[in-house]
Amino acid sequence: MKKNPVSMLITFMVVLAGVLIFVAPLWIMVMNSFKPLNEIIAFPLRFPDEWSFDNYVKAWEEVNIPNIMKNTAIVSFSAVCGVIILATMTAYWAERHPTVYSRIFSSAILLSMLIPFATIMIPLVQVMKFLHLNNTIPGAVLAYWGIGLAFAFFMIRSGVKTLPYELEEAARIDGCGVIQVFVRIVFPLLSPVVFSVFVMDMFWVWNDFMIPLVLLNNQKLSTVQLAINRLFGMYNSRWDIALPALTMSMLPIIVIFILLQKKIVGGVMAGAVKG
Amino acid sequence: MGDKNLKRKKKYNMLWGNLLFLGPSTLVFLAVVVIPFAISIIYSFSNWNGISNEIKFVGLNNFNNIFSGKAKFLDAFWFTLRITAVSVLLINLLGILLAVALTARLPFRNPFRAAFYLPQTMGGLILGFIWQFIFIAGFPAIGDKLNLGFFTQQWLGTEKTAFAALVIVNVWQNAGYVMVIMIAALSGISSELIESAKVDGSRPLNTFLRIKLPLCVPYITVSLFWTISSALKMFETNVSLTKGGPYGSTTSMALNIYNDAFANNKYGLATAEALVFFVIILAITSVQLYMSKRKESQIL
Amino acid sequence: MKRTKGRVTMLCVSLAGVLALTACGGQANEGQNSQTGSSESAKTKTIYIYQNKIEIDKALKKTAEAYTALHPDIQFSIESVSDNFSTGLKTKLASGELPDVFTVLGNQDLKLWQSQLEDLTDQPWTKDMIPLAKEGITGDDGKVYGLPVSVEGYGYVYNKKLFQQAGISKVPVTLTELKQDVESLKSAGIQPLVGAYMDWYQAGNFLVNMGIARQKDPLAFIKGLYDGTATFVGNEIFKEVADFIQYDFANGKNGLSTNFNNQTTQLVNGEIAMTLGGNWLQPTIDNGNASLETGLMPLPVNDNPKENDKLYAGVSGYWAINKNSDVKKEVKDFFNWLVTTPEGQTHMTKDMQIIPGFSSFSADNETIGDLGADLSRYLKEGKVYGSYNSYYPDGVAQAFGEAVQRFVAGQVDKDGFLQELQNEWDRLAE
Repeated sequence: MKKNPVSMLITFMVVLAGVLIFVAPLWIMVMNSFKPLNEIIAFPLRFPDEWSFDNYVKAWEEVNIPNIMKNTAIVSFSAVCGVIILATMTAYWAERHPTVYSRIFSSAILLSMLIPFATIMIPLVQVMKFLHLNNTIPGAVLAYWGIGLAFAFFMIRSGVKTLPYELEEAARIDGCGVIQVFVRIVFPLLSPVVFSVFVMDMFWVWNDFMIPLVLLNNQKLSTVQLAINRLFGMYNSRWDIALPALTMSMLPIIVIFILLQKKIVGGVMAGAVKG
Repeated sequence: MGDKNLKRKKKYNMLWGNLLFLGPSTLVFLAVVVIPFAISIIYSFSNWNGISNEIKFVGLNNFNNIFSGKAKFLDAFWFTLRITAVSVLLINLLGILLAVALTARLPFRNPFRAAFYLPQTMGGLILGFIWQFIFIAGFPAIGDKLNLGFFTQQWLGTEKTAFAALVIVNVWQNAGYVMVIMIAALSGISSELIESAKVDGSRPLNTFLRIKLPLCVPYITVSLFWTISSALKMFETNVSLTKGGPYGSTTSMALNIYNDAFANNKYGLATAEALVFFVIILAITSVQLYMSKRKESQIL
Repeated sequence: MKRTKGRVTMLCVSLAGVLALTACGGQANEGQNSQTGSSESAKTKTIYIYQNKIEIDKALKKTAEAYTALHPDIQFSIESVSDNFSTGLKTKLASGELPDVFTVLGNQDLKLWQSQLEDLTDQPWTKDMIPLAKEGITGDDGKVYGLPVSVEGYGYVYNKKLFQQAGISKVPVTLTELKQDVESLKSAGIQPLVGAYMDWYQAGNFLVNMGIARQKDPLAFIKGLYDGTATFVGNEIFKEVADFIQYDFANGKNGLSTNFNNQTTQLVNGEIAMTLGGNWLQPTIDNGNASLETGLMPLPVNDNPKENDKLYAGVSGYWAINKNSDVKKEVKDFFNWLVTTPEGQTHMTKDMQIIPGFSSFSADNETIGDLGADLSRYLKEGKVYGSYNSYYPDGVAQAFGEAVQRFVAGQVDKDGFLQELQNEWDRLAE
């Protein structure tokens, strides 16, 4: 499509302005995290006179960053991988071999997307106690498997719908069993949508607050969100500690995002096939 | 004979496959969602305070309190409905506009897309804290510099501006998601169709409204569903940005339920509210899906 | 095809990762178990404390270490949480891990938790509790269920230097004096007041309490509210308090978008002359601006100096013992050591910097700072009103705070405000 350069330039400028507005809050946060408290309060928009890491040292001492990062990474990764495996198996089987049960189960999963977490919070803790998994990382991971199933199932099912049935037939004729077909043919073919679910769920679990609040109720198992919230409770007039802690907590996500941005945005796009 | 055997074998295989593929997720889903949900339905008919060992069943009392307006749930419902309507509209409009702009051949197209998607990667709690800083310290500073009264308002201090603040944060956080879905939609449209429209003398705006947009309806269905259900469930941003203030005017349904369960020690009432909440979301999203699907079938 | 291959590899890697990580998760868990296992085998016992006074977290841990040095078989696990404290506690209860010691706020909160608590009436220190501290944690059955942690009080926190600059030599004890001082501050170009009206917390807890505490018999008034014989509507004392709230708001700046955070920052930076606050602000002031000289002064609502030269004080929380705890005896010993031995008392007064709720020992004037010193002077002279928010039905403090916000925003007038207080009370008391 050819457009005249003037309108292109205007579009470009407008979009650029939009980008600046979108990034500004984060920029303000990062910039202020390097300033002493009185400067943050008095001149929140001004560049720091000098980029000092004192705040970061203080925040680092307050929050056990390596530990909470490790906890959060373990929880997020195990949660998301499990969600994906369960959702792919369920979506594939329910789509290929519809039975009364699989239909009811599918709708139940989709409906669960609408359950507010506060409803099942206390009973969930009681169930975890029954399973002897309360306040353990596997307990929280299990909760994510159940709660994350809905979104992943929703996305992956639409992926399964677009799969050509012939490939599976061909593989079966070649003597592949059900499991082999699933692992060798189906799963790889679904990888674009799986990747996008992986990314979006990763962001979700990394940023989730409520599940760790009730299921990792122990400071040793604290995740990033819990630690940040605790910090705000403790120093709620100390932006010079809170802002660097916020920045550090977001750093891994932002770095991963910037490195993989094209792939991530592309993956989410690929996942947006019609359901 | 052999046929029968084969059938039996097939049936056996199916059973085995069902167990293998649906079994694990069924177990997990039962333990994490179904059983807790069932327990909470039982609690909703009780006056349990969340602590005591005695639970008294009070019939439909909790539901009576909800619908008679005694429990403030209706206020929260009304607020949530309004903010959902405004946010969903703006999120989708902005998302579509961005998608249109960023499917054109602009320089830095990919980094720009990433920038708009970036807020989507952050958690509501953290976003709320950051924006609290922006509204309380950042906006007044901008206002002083540019001498604009618009920015120096007490953003989180009045009912209308606190509402607007939540809308701003919602739009900021979610427009990128809609943008990405709509980019996928727009780039899926065959260029021949567009070219032929152009040959027929259709103007760009017309082409967009008459040809492109209708083809995007299935995608719009998805993003509407997603934005509506997440706006209705708004919780974390609400907690960290306004805490429901000023004077409780920005208390979302989820926050209201949380407060009743944990601050007001009315766990029975809270679970009853949560059930009503569930039914409301179910109704609204079903209507939306039904209408979108009808629209889709009209077009396609 | 090449691309598919890449994806397959990626998926395999992530699958392997899952396995490795679930294994990791399991290991972490086992590690935990073995830890408790080994500690049991060595016959040491661990006391698990979950408390909400986050500012004493470090001091409490230090105190616990000192106790462990004396009693090597006792270890501590201390968790201090302020936000979501009660959510955390309820979740712990639901998960069967109720801590050995946890904070209970007294009165209504005591009623809620009483079934889980150990009776401490026979402990030697209960006789030394000051009446203010004792009445809050005594159940309807007359038994004592907790150890008072600290007495806290509030009024206006004022900046001594700014008062001097405006030529104010003595703190106001009547409303007229307060108004004069506010005017002289204004003419000196100083922002006289700031209130954190964005949060419901201070408005709902401190401001409304003024009206209740100033009643002739506050407990009778509260009882009346519960049984319907007393009301906020038309109450003269509450009308005065309402006027005071309006005055405080009107002479502040951007009250409805000021939260605790901004309020403290402005105080610490020396930008405001007075703000509602209490002795709990001392550590923040010491950390933020140690040279700032502050004091605690009354909140005068009328012109009777006798009625107004008073602060408001109460016990901020109690440590209660879980009656099903395995280490009940050990906790009792620890409590005894803490409040009856000079060493324990020193830890409380010097390290935790608190004003004790006991008559047997008193605060350390050097460490409690200006605010603590003023409060303890008023306490000694008996010039304090009580703090009654722990008697309210659950959730009322927040509802009150929101009513105050509506009132200062001009959504309701004075009578409407008092009516709302009444409605909210009735709604939440059932």
